[in-house]
Amino acid sequence: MKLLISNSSQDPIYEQITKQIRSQIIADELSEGEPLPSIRKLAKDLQISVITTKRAYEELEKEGFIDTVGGKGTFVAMQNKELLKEKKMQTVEEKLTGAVNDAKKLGIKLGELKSMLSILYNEEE
Amino acid sequence: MNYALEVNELSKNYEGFRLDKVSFALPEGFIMGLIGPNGAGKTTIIKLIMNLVMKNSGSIKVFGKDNREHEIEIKERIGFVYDNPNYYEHLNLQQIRNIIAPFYKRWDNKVFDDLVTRFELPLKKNLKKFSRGMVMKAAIAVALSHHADFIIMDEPTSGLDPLFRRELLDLLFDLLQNEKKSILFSTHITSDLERVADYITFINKGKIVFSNTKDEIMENHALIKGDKNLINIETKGYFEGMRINEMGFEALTSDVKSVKKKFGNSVIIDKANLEDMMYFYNQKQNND
Amino acid sequence: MIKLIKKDFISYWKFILIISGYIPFLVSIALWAMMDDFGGIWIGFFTTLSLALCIFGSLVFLINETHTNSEILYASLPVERSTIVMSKYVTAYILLCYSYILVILSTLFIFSVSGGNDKAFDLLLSIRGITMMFGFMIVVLSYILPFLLIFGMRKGAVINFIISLLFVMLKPVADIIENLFKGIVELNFSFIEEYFQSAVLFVTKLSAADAYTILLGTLVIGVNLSMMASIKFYSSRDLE
Repeated sequence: MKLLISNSSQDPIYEQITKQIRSQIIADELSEGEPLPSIRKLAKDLQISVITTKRAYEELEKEGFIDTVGGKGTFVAMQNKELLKEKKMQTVEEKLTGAVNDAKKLGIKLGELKSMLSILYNEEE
Repeated sequence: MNYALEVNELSKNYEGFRLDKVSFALPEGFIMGLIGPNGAGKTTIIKLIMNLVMKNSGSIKVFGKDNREHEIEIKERIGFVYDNPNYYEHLNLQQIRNIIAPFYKRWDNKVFDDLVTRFELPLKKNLKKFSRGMVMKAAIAVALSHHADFIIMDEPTSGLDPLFRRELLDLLFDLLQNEKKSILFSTHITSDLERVADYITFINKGKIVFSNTKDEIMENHALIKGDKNLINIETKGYFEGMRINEMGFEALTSDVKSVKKKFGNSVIIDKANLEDMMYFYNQKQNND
Repeated sequence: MIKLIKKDFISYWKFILIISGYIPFLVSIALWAMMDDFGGIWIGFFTTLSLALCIFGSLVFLINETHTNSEILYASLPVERSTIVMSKYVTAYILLCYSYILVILSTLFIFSVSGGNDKAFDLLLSIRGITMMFGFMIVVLSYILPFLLIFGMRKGAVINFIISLLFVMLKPVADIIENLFKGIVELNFSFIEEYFQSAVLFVTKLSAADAYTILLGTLVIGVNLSMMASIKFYSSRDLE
């Protein structure tokens, strides 16, 4: 697991943690059943408050990304494939929305954007 | 929830200073930072907890027990570091260990030796010849060597270089890996606390300004900057203290949401750090 | 309790070394000065010892507690404040016995060198002699300690110094004032001298057993009162 916390970011620290862990789970960088560090260990490693890491884990648990097994620790939850895909689609959508908004600001037409997208899509292959 | 410390309506009168009905609580397993300017009452609170001075009213519970009735068993489980630990001056560290160790049932020479090695402290040198940082390290080593469950530190970082302050914070994190350990830490160097503290209690002029989790405090407070024409009798109520000059106003709010609703995009909203809060709240109290 | 006393000796060892040299020195001076007049030998001892006691009593506490803040350290350890008070008494009495032994040893030494009066030395070791010496020093300690503990080390030391000075200087000061004002004002300070003399006479006229009983009884009460007062006030004192 990789986590980088910025002190100058506008996002609260717990949100930075949840975002990063979430995207790592979605991208399969963290696989099902993989153990996560304890909240106290994480707080120490990131040099942040225990309450912050606790809150981040609680959010992730609520969203179903991780499971806390009493006495054993915290693990990446078994993901519902449908849900996961939906969530992944969501992130793609979010990123595209950002791109569309930027394009609109620059006055790029839909046609132009589409051809841009298809070039990029093929390049990646 | 178990509490390491519960302070309730605590008052203490001095000539020219009064600790006024102070209440706050620290749950077991967390770090609380006690902040405030010099002379705010931080040391008085710590002395009251340690029973060095007598309260006029109110109650103090440590580990859920009254701190006077159960004084000995409580102190057995407390590790303390005071602002000016010059009490050791004419002795060397080994003598100090020989003096202090027998007082604690759970004293552990191995822990002490490890800390002394980690801090690179000489055992046979008079503490008179130690630098302030070294004296502080020695006091910390003594405080942490009897497996205390509650560490109380009064200004442990004042006068210390940033390198050692980092080292101390690391040490505190190590301690907190055990969820039964709690730490109360008074300081006026708030940047230390912005990293580690779980709870912040801000005291000024003998009164509690706020006591809450650091995250909530950081989320609810913000620095607001804008045109000074926005300030009138009605809008003043949104702020905890402000500074107005020709360029505009700068103010602290403890309720970012309401400010956002009220002022929208007409103001700049910046993160406020603890130092900003101390500054503006102090200004507000001066004006009241 | 024992650990508190042990801590006193660990932190006071330098001071004990100092009084080990200081007391024989004072005793020798007093003895040399009074070699011809053994009637004044008690006053010589009282002066010497009370001086030694005032100085060491005040210094021990002053040096180690006020200057170094260690009072706060010990009050923060898991011990009762009453234990701290009692340990101070015990430490003080251990030092007292030590000082007395030093006095005897140095007297013995001086007399053996100068071939002085054996009777005076017998008195020093007699039950009455020991009772009187100890009695006097216990009285001194019984007010020194409460003042130090109740008023704090700094204020307490000043109060003790003044009282001890009055104690020791009572007769000489009365004499000096009387001499100064002789012929100018009809001031009669002789009642102080009479009082002092009659007190000494009363004690010296008693049989050894009587003196022992009376003094012991008074001292036990005195020490208890002193300790109770110290514990009571010290337990609720703000340590700053």
